[in-house]
Amino acid sequence: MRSKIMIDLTTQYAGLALKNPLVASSSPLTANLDSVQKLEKAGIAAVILPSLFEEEILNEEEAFYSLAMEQDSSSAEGDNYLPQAHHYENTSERYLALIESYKANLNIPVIASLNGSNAEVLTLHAKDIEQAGADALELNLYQVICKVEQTAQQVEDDYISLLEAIRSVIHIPIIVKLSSQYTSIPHFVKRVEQTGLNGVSIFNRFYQPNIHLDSHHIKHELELSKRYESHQRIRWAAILRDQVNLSIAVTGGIHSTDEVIKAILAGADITCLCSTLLINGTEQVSKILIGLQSWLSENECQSVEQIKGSISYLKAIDSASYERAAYVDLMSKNNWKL
Amino acid sequence: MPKKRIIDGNEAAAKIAHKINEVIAIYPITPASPMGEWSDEWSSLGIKNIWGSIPSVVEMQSEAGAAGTVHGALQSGALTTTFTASQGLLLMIPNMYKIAGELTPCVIHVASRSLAAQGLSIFGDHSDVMAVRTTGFAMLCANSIQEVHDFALIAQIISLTSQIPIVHFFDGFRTSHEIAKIEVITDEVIKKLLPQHLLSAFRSRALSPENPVIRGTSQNPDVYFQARETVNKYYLALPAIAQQVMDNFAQLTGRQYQIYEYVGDATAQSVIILMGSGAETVEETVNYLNKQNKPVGLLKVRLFRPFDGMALIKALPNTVKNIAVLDRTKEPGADGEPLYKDVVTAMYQANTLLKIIGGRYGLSSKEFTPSMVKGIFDELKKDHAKNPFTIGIVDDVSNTSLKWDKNFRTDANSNTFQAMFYGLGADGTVSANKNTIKIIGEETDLYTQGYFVYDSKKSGAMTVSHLRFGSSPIQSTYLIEEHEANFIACHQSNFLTKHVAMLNYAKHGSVFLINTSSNTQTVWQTLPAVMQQQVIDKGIQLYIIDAYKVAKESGMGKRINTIMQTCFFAISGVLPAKQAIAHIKNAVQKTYGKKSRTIVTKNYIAIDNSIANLKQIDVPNKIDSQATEKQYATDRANQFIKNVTLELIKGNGDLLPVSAFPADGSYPLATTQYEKRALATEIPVWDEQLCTQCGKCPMVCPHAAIRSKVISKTHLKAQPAVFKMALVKGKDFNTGDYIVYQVSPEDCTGCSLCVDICPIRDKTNVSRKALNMQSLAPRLKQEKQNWQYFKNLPEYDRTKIKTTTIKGSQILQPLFEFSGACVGCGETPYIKLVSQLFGDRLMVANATGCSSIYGGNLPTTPWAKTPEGRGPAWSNSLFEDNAEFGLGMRLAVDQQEQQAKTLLIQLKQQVGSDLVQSILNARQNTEQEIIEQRARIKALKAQLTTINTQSAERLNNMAENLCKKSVWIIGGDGWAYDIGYGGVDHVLASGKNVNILVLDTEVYSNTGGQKSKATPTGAVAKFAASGKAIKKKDLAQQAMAYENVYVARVAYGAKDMQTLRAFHEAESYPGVSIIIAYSPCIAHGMDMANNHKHQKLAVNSGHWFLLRYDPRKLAKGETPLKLDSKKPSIAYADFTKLETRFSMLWRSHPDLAEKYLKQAQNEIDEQYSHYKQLADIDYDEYKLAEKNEEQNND
Repeated sequence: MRSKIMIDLTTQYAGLALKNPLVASSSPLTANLDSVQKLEKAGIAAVILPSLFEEEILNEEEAFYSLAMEQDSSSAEGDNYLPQAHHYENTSERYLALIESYKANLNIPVIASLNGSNAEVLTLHAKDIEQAGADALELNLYQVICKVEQTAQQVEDDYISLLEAIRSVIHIPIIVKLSSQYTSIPHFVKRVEQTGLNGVSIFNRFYQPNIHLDSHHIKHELELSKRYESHQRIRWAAILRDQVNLSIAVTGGIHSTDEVIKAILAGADITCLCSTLLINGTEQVSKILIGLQSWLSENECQSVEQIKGSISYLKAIDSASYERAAYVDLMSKNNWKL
Repeated sequence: MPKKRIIDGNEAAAKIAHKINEVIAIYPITPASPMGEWSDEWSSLGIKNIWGSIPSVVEMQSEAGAAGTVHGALQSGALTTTFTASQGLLLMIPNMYKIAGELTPCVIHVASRSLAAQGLSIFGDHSDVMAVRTTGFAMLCANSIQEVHDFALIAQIISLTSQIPIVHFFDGFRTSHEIAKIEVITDEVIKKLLPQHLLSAFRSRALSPENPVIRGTSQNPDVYFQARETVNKYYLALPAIAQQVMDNFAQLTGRQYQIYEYVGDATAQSVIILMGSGAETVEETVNYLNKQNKPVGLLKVRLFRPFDGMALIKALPNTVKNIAVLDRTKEPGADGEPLYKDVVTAMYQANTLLKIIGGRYGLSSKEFTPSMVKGIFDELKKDHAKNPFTIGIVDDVSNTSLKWDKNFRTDANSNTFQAMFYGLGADGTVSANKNTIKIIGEETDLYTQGYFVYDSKKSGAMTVSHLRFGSSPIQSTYLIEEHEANFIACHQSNFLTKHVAMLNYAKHGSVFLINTSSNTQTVWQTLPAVMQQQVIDKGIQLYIIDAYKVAKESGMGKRINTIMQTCFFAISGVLPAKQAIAHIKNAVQKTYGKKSRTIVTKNYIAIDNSIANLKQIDVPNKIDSQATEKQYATDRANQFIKNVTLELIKGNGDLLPVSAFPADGSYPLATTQYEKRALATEIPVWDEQLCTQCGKCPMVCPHAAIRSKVISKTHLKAQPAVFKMALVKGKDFNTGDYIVYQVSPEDCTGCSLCVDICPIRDKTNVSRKALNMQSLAPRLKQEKQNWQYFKNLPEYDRTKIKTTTIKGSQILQPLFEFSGACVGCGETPYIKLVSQLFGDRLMVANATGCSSIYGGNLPTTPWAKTPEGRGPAWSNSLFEDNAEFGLGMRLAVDQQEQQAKTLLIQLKQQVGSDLVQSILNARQNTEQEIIEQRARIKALKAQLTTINTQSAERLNNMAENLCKKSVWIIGGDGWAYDIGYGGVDHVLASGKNVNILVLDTEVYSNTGGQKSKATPTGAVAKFAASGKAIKKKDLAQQAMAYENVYVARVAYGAKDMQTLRAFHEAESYPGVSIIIAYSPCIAHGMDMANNHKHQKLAVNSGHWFLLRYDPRKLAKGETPLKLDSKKPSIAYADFTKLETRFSMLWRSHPDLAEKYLKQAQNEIDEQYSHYKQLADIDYDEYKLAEKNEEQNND
């Protein structure tokens, strides 16, 4: 009992003071007040709302425009076919209302999430989100570059311009959620830091297309994360930790106390939980917290901040293991599990 | 301060009705539907009436139902109204007698419309209201949008004061749909004019158990007559009450009305008396003629019932000698129309014997112009003026028509800006113009008028917008006339050759704007010579814009509405261009600013780009055209088609005289083939190597534009260079024969459904199929040749086709082709299939609705004939009676067959025993057997001509009934589930051999998407703005309850073979059959190119599981019900989320949306479980158990 009282789980993340390093990532569980309140009760330190997707906004705008302007038929009997959309609440408005409702009912920080790549759309909605009272904004930059003409440099420059544009219009902390597919992750994250952003979240898990053998169509399938996915993220948290000053969130594959501790040791400021909550329910938060406290206690640590980054790329006993050398090492030891 | 608003007549009436009434019973009917739609929407938004409650808006199953509800609510003390027109008003007649007989105040608002007689018409005249003038309702007529708004209130006060119910009517379309700037009555004014004591008096007469009376007794000869006379004093009092209410209204609003209002010269000798929107045109003309010192005048009749002849005479100047009374209705066989006879009687009763002539005008929205008014005044001057007369048509049969000088104009529009816009349905032209009217009306002091003329097609047809803006009120209740338009815009360049007369309307020095991809150098040559000549002669300023290019570059996709609107403001001069552009931007911001900010940006870009891309053309001073007016291939057409149908297609119908038309409303078949509307920009292109000849593509084609034929090599002579064919596959055909899949390039609408359904993909490139959409332009010439060649190839011998396969059924000639249905229509493939399978012996009773419009709307008909001249005999009776109508057909056929058989037996000796026996005993179950029977009948008829007896002649007249007829009763869900359900139910119970096909779009499609009992839970529709709360009626189960009815639920896009089987089984079943066919519709808010996908989702979600119930199986001890689709495999939400009709509820009423989704999923689960249990009943065991029980009891 004594050791529990002594342990400080608080963490600083993107300018937010969080009571512990467990954050609920975007998922159906963060889409309504009821489940978010359960998460808060279970001890979660902050919630990230489901993403407001640029496509969702644009498609809805198009649909509204079509309803208003394109229902003209050539028939005198029915010059339109659906009631006019005179009064309705669009996705963006509902999103803002959700933020407002969370802020009114929760005592933990509320992080909004925007997903897209269109600067005009994202800046407009970032401002709305800030006005609605969100404590921070997570930006989910996602593009699939398919054209040979587009260079990596152009893509990165465009992203940076976009981040600068958004940074210039809002004042709340901004975190960018990144893809793992950058030629030089540290270089890009450094550029992100230079835009004045407050954090990076590594890494986005993308729903991958899958060819359907019967229909020959491509389907997108939603799969929950697996624990092993945390390894890649922890590695990059470790590599980034001492080279950048912005906050780091590890997201993807965090299922238990072990992954949480490892991510923090590597240098993460927070860990984001999703699949494990969907599988095990909101009480998983309490379990992980108890585990975290026990581990810190057992290892005679006083706080999360104390161990944060203690096994980072620069501080690790065997830091080469974060590098390519680890690959060679693995091959040479004939470790194939056949 | 009263607000000025830009609204149409329907909204003007509904605004007041919703403010005053507590119960509103509605039913959709053109052109009155929007009044109900507005009321439903306002109530769904919680908007209250002046009494502080939200009016209860209830949609009924018919106007008869609405009237009954109105009657009940009124009797129970609630202020109640309804809105209707035409046949709907006729259905209310029985209740109207009751409501009036019981002195129950209420107002029914009517957008008056023609009645169906020799043909149906949705357009405006007074035929409907004239049919209710005997009901005891008072009748008050409004002539303009402002009057509609004012009279809606005035009528209510008169009614409450006098206790007499009132029909408040105004002209359908011309007034109901015209947009104008009016002063809106404030709540304060309504409250002042409608004091509480009137309401208290009304409520005190309500039925109540606290103070009970009985009303609606049955009366006998000793009482009825006297009791009927008790009401006279109320009617006598009404005119004075009405005038007093109008005077009180004037004190508060400044708008003074008279029940009979004279306008014109105080010493007029000639006066026209009429009511309705035409009075505005007459007033405009009278004012002009008065300025020319012509002593003429107009008497507007506002109060038609009770008719106060003395008040009418009093309103006329003493100097009047000649009167023309105009009626917008026709009473065949009468010695004059109603208003005329009322005026004559009034004059006689007042001993005032003037020259009074009566004339008909404006039936079915026929134009009524100042020149016609002048023609009437000219006629009045004659010693022997025609009486009765008609004006506006050329009657060369009865010679009733007056001549008029078409070049006569008043000066009313000399300072009015008049603009015409030729747009394509759904290209946004009408919406943009409504927006323009709003901008000008709201941002300036100008008066505005907008009126929109639609084509007869549901797809790809032209809309013409007529807009007027002026500094004084606009009374011109007629279209912009020739040589009058200051501005004409052609929003689709292909109209230039299709509608070459559009510049007839251009004024000298006017502006002509064309949306075209041609540039400044080439556009001139794209104008037909006749247009070029007009541009030169009239000094027309010619501008062009490539609106589609600008739209694309501005991120607007294919939307050209804002671009064309901007160009209008930039060059029309109606407002200073800079100011106008600012107004457009403001309007965009106002409309979309909050909800659609990227749309605002795109629109702004488009507006700026429009200005930058708008080009004026230096008009050459010479005719140099490369364009020719669209030509119609008439080589196969008969004289009627050439002289009448083609003129109608060309838009010259108004010019045809009475003698051109059949007197009984019968028109020839197969005339859509002459239209060649060329709507597609891409058509399907067949890869004959890849194709497996499954036949699915013609099966799903909504317009029968892609066909298949199997032909023998011997028929292949002089085929076009690239005519494609392939050796036909399958043992059902002769080896060495060829199969062809051919598209008619100018009849295809480009919907792409044939490509969508094609199951064959190229193994090396899966996005390529055996059919692929490709650009029409480079292959138009070739494909036209191919189609012509294909069409002339012989049809395959029907007796040799296995019609139970998709491939086989699709080789049968469709006898329903190229209809005007929407692109991608989900109904027409079913109708086409019926026509293919049974078309040469088909009789169709078609309920009013979409299918009667694309099936029977002039100028052309898609129902076609075989090369032998046989084909569907089609008729539309009404909306409500179609099942009974079809049953009547069956009874007539059966009766004549029976008589023919009797006569045949009587004439056995003369005809020959063998022939008689073979006819009487003939099986007619297969194509072969039917064809053999036809041959026997032919032989019989030949034989009968040699027998000179009355019996032989009678038999000869009805011998064709010895051949099997297939009677189909076709209609939509509005008919089958709602208005016609009583009849459907009765026919289901009749046991007669009829086939009912319900094209279930789950909404009243034709009238614009109103809720029916087929609308599913949670769907938004008009009249269900907050989503349908009750589950869809299970019509299949109701039909199955009879146990002797064949029932099928089909969705061709989900399982075509099941559909085909159902149609065969239904037709072969010797009793009543009903097929309920899922029919995706644009009213679902979906891309119709995804029609099949939505059908599959509907089936897979269990919303529309497939079934067949065949009572014949009962006799075999088999389970009659077979479920043809698997257990629901996806959630209902996976189906609904893709259709706007469901998804919009999540935006407007998210709580309800969630509630209904859960409710609907439960309903589906329960319904499927119920059907599954029924389908799993083992009838053998059941029978065995029954038998055992019987034995035990014995």
